[in-house]
Amino acid sequence: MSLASRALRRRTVRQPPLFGWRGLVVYTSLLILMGAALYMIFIYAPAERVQGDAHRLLYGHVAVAWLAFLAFGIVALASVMYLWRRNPRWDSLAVASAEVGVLFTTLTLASGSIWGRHVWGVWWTWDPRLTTTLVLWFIYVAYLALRMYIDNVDTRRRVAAIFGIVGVVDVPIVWYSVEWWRSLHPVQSVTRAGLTLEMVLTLVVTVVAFTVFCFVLIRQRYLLERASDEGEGLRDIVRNRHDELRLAGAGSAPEAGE
Amino acid sequence: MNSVATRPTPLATGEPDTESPALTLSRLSVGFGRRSVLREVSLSLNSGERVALLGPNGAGKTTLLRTLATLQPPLSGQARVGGTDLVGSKRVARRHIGFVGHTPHLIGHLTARENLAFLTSLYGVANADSRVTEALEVVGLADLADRRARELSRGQLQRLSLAAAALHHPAVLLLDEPDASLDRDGVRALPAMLDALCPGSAVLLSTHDPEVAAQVAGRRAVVDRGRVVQADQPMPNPAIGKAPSSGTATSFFGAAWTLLRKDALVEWRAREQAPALLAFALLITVLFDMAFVILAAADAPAVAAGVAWSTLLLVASLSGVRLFGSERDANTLTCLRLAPIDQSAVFVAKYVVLVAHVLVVGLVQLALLSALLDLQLFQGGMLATLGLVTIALSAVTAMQSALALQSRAREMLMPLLAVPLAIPVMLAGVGATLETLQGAPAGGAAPWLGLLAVVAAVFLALSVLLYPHAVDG
Repeated sequence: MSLASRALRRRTVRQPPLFGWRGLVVYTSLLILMGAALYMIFIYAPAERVQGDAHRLLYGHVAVAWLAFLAFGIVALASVMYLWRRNPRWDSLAVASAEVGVLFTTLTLASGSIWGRHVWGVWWTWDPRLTTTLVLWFIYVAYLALRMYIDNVDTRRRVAAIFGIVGVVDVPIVWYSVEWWRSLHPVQSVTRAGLTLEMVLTLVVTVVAFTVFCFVLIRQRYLLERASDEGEGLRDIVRNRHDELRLAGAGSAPEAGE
Repeated sequence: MNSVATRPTPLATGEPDTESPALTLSRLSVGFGRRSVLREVSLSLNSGERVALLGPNGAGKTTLLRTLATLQPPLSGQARVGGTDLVGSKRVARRHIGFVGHTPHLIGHLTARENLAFLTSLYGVANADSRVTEALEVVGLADLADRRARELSRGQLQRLSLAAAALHHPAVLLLDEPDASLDRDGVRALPAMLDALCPGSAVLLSTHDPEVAAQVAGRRAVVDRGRVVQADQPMPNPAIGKAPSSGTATSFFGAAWTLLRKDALVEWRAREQAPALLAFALLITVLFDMAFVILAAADAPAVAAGVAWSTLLLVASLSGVRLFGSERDANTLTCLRLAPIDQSAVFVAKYVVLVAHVLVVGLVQLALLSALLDLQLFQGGMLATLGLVTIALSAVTAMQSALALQSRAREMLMPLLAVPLAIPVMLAGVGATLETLQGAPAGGAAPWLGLLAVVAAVFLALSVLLYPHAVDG
């Protein structure tokens, strides 16, 4: 029994989740975590010796940067699983993760750039981290563009999955090539002052808060994608039923002889 | 339902199982997403039987034939060709299937005879030369054998398509409206052509014309809105001639070599790519040179390093659009998908074509840059870099070409997909060039060359692994 035929029989649309008590728990804890992170970033953490208040940008920056890379990891994993199992749920996870990934990569680049302007005096420098993140952003955008331009849903899923895998394999190669590049052409190094305990605590809470936020976003986008697939499926089922009724209405022809 | 054992013969590997019917469909459903185009179609054909599918437009006749030709995966149900499962062992099943579609999948720049010879290599047909000559005579194209397919009329192409589909003597021959462009004589001669080309093959054909159905086929099945609404009973003992003898398996490199020879011949005759690519590379090189040297007075080795490899990236990306795209435009990709070969062989052949194009452009460009920048670029280090950049760049681009092919706007998508992934190749190329040209100690470029080799190996391995998923469901 193929996946597709099983999917054909499962015609119920699930209740939208995260609206009941589970939703209450998740959203409340997210709100509390975010509030705590903001408080710690702007009030609890001390100003840094060299950078002053500019370093407060870095807590959020580190969190979104790590999530940008994590989201791409999820895209690759879901893509492998899709090619292997051919279950559309994996594809929905991949697209959800890619879209959230673009958001977080954009935030990473923006926050890093603003911080760099204050501390390094430049908006941009060809540092390995920056360059790799920028290339990652381009790959994400190409992934989403590729999906946009393929009409057949099965082809779209297959082709996007392949690009998702190839894209993530390229990321470490980009990283090494840019790092070697820099070692040949050294640029001004960043002064790194020691972190105090308050700073470490602030960083941990911020990363946890943003991670929860990221997973909630991916989950919501995933459910939206599933609902959209489900809607498409229902429309197909209605069309099928319509054809069957017309066929029965025609009436004159007997059923298949085999 | 069909237990008529026709002629028991010992089963060799890959031989069609003559005990079971040539073609069995049980409750086959086909669709897109959840939209069913065919619903639980069941049908069975014995060897030597000819069945006509009749039905109004949009009934699902073409979809049924395309599904049986392994071009469209079914949603559920089963289809077996001579005992081989159509979904589970697609590649083996393809050896027992011949398909004539709506549009001919012949290669325009090859002659009628070369088209057939190309297919005999892909299908591993024995006695290829005599079989090709015989097939051309049967379909009445013997005197047009050396005319290129693009110069043949629609009806002549239809005859050639029939010869091409029956060349490997498949157990099942699928014909989608074979009468669509044949003249009256052609339609009348169709049964005799089938008798001569593939005696003993089961034939399933679609047509709108009940007269043609009566002329060609012994049985009729009527399809309406995705269901078989009426079907004649199978004949108890169909007349059978020689049993089908589908060819032998073609090896991976054998198939890749056949495809490569075909591409080389087509490129030689069409001259589609090389002149345009060279002109494009020349233009870009001059443009960059003006931008950096005349306006910015940049340092010559740095300009050479930057211009050489960015131009090559643009060339590879442009050439990549045509790489699989030309097959798609000419409808010949279907021909390759129907062949019982490892589909990755198609990728390998296309990859070698891209490497050849990029390498030629690269060499011309080194000469051009040597002159423009007054540098000696024809030296060991530079040539090694060119070779490795070409290999790595082509590996990245060829894969993206196969992906962009599936999309609506492949010309626009191609650079978007290929350029970000090719950034390590660019950096390594520039790094190696600077090391070489600035007279660094020997071996300074080695890490960069190593990186290029790694990129090439990683992308080639991924491509060979993933390419069948890209084109073939």
